[in-house]
Amino acid sequence: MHAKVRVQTTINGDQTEFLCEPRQSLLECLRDVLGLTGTKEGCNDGNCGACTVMLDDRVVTSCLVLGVEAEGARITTIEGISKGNELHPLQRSFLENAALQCGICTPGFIVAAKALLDHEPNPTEDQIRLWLANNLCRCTGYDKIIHAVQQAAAHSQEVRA
Amino acid sequence: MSTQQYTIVGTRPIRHDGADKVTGRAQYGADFQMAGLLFGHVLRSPHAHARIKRIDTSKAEKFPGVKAVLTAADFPPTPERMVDLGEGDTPLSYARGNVLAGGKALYRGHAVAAVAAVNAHVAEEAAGLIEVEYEVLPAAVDLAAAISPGAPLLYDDVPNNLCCNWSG
Repeated sequence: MHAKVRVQTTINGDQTEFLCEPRQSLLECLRDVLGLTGTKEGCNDGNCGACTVMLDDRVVTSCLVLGVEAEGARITTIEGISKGNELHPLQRSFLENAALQCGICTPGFIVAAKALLDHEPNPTEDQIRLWLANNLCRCTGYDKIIHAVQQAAAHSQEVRA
Repeated sequence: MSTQQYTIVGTRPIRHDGADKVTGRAQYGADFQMAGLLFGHVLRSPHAHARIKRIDTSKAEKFPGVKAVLTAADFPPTPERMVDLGEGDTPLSYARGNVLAGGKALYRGHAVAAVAAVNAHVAEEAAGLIEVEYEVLPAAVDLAAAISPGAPLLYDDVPNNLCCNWSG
């Protein structure tokens, strides 16, 4: 057992403090220490993207980030994407396009796709596919997910117009 | 083709668990924590075929946070009988040997010992303290090699590594 370190951070807009071992990943801290189990563990070695979260303005696989690296940072997880009970357009379009089945990859896809739309509100299909290449899905397949992101982008364009 | 309209068939309903899944609220087995929950780690054979000459689990057992260390020696004797574990009849001794290797490791990745501990890191660290002495044996790693004359035998009582002959 190792002495625990105190980490002060901001998660989904809330100032948060937690204790973790220096070797614990941010993924473990979110799930096991803070109970934010929306972020999923797939491969635990950075290949599948199920644990994708935002660390400040970067998209990261939280299994490859240490919990102590969250010190002073802003973390956004799937639990921080909707506004109260109002789903984010991406969450709605994933539902409407049946872009999920088992749902283990879904939080990672939505966090990553939101980062894309925040950065590029009107992406091409190629841009979406390239951006989401770090996220693996083993049941739905990718076309429905790509359509869902396209629909959410189109919706946001309409709202803006 | 039927033109009948149905209330569900032919419609595109939103899946009933969808909202929970897109918000991260859905609870899966791995999302539960209970008081006293233990985590396991399995130590596996690095060799495709090897005699297990000695396993020393004493350092792992003493490691802080470890609750149990198991090897095949902890299993009770297995009666010689056939059991159906869902994939047809299997000798119980073979089924037991596939849970934890006793005597020999029969493939690379064959489970040799298992640790239960207070967290996954402790379990993994303790598994690394288990000492296994192997005598590496020749291995057959494809079907043709396994049934060729003189191939290394996995089980002494199974000539030519042939489980059965089947013709239909």
